[in-house]
Formats: sequence, structure tokens, C-alpha cells
Amino acid sequence: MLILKYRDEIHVLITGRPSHEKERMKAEPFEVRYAQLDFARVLGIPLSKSLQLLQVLIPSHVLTDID
Amino acid sequence: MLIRNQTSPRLLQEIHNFDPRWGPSRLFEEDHQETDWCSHVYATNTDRSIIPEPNSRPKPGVTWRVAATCQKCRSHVDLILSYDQDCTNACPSEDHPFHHLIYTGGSLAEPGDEGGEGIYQFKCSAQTCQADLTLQFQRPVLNFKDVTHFIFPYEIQARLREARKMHGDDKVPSRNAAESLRVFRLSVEDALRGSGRSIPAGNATFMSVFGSTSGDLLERLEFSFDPTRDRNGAWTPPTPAPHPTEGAGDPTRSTLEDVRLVESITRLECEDFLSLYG
Repeated sequence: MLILKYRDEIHVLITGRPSHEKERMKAEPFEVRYAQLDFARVLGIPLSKSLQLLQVLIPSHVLTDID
Repeated sequence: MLIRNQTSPRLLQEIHNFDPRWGPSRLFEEDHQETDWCSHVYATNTDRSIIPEPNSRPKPGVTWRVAATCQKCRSHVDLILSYDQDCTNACPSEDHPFHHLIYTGGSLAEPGDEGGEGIYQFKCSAQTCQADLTLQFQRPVLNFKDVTHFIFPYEIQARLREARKMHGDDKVPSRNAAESLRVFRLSVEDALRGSGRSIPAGNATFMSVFGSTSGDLLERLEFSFDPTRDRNGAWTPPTPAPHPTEGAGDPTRSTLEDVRLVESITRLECEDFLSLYG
């Protein structure tokens, strides 16, 4: 399991990925970053509402849970 | 459907469903296949985005922006939300938990184009908010051919042969896909810095990375070719204007920043391919 910080506030837990890929994401977590939370924040969508969308929009193999 | 009045959560879903390569008209065609459309996975272009702090409230006159590129199809979208001086209580508020966005119009990048590349504008119907929202969709700036140019081994080898023919074997070291992408990225970053430094077309590094077949790509990125410079001519990068504090900014800078993000995506995505075929 790997915890990535999103703008120092949300932790994305990634499981079931090859170790070399986790290392790669750990090294460059901000270079290619999912935009869904940025869209939601700018649109003023409360986080609890946007999370329902995120579970659909972020590929299931990447996102399994959110702290 | 993107073009309709809707609340912000629904619009967020539509942004991820809308594919600027096909556009809204395709929805009504009998042979339309949903599989043609990309279910986007957008990545933020941080250089061009203005994102508020968590739980911050917009002030009159403020503009926020998310610029993003899809990691799957490479399409681009800019979401721009502006609040004018009439905004007294922006959404979400107690009376209005979401923006209710009225479609006010838009324009396609090319009139008559069947694709959806263009601008779509909305206005929040809440009298106390009246935020203006603009969505600007753009087709991928790098196509499949552009990407294969830098990463396919046989294309790299062909350019190396051409360069070695002119400069000699010992002057042109071997180059792999990762190095080709890195040099391409450096050229884009050089242009973003506004160096204005020309690249001779006969330069060994240029020949082995760009070669004689990349003119179309370089011209799309606003590089200009002067056949009278040096022995084989030279390419001069654009000098885009710095980011303004508000407004759309220099389109050339936006394009180059999108290309830089696409290069990052391609490099990460191709890591397994590169480790095998370098």
C-alpha cells in the first residue's frame, strides 16, 4: 500500500500495483496528477459530493480508498 | 450532454464524458458508438492553473482556472470560473448549494466542424453569485504520429543513419526513445523560457532527434524555419508572452505547456515499452 498526498490534504491509497510502478509514482507524484479534485474545488462542489464522482472517474485499479 | 442548463456536479461529469474529437453532433447520429468516446482521465497542468485554497470563498473579481490534459486521448480542457463585482454571495451558499449553470453560448474552433473543439460558456443563475464559467476544449496537440516519431526504434535508427551520414559515426552517439523525448522536452522548455535560440537543422543532435520529417510538428508548435541561416537552415523557437494574472494568456505558451505535460504522460506511460526497446 502506498499513500500519496494530494496538495497536502488528501491521501490516496494505492494497492495491487507492481512495486516498480509504485516507486515511479512515489518519485513523481505531482508530475502527472489527477485533475478531478481540482475541477471539483474550483466549481465549489463539496468534497463529500465530489468523492462520489471520483470513485467513478478515477480508474478502479489506481484508486481503492480515500482517507 | 454538455450543452444544457445544469448543476455543477452534473457538469463535472459531462466534462469527463465530452470528447472534443467528436463533438456534440455525433450524439444524434444513428451509427454513433459510445466506444468512440474517451472516458477521460485528466491530469492538471499546474503552470496554467489557478486553484483556490481548500474551503476558501471567492471574492468579487477573482478568476480560477483548471487546465488539464487527458492521459488517455491527450485532449485538453480549460475550465475558467470568474466572479464579477455583482457577486455578493457566491455558490455554494445556504440558499444555493451548487452553481446552477445556464448555457449562454459558445463557438466552435472551426465553424461547421463536426468535432467539439471550441468554447462553451455558462452563467450561474443564482442572483447573488452570477459566476461566469467558460469551458475551452481542444483536440490533442500531439497526435499518434508525433509520439511514434520520438519513441519507435526504427524511426530513431533512420534518423541516426541520416545524421551519421552527414557527421560521421563517431560524432553521433546512439540515442534511445527516452533520450529523444528528453531532448524534445528540453526544446519545448527552452521555448517557454523565451530563449529565442535557433537550432541549426544540420546539427547532429537535432538530426538524430527531430530529423527531416518533423517540420509539420515544429510548425504547429510555432517554431519558424529560415532556410538562409547556417548551411542547412535553422529552426527558431517561438517566444511566448509570460502568463497574465487573468485572462486566457498567450495561446502559444498554452500549447507548449500542454505539449510538456503530454511528454510527461507519454514518458511515464511508455516506461515499460522504453525498458524493453529503449
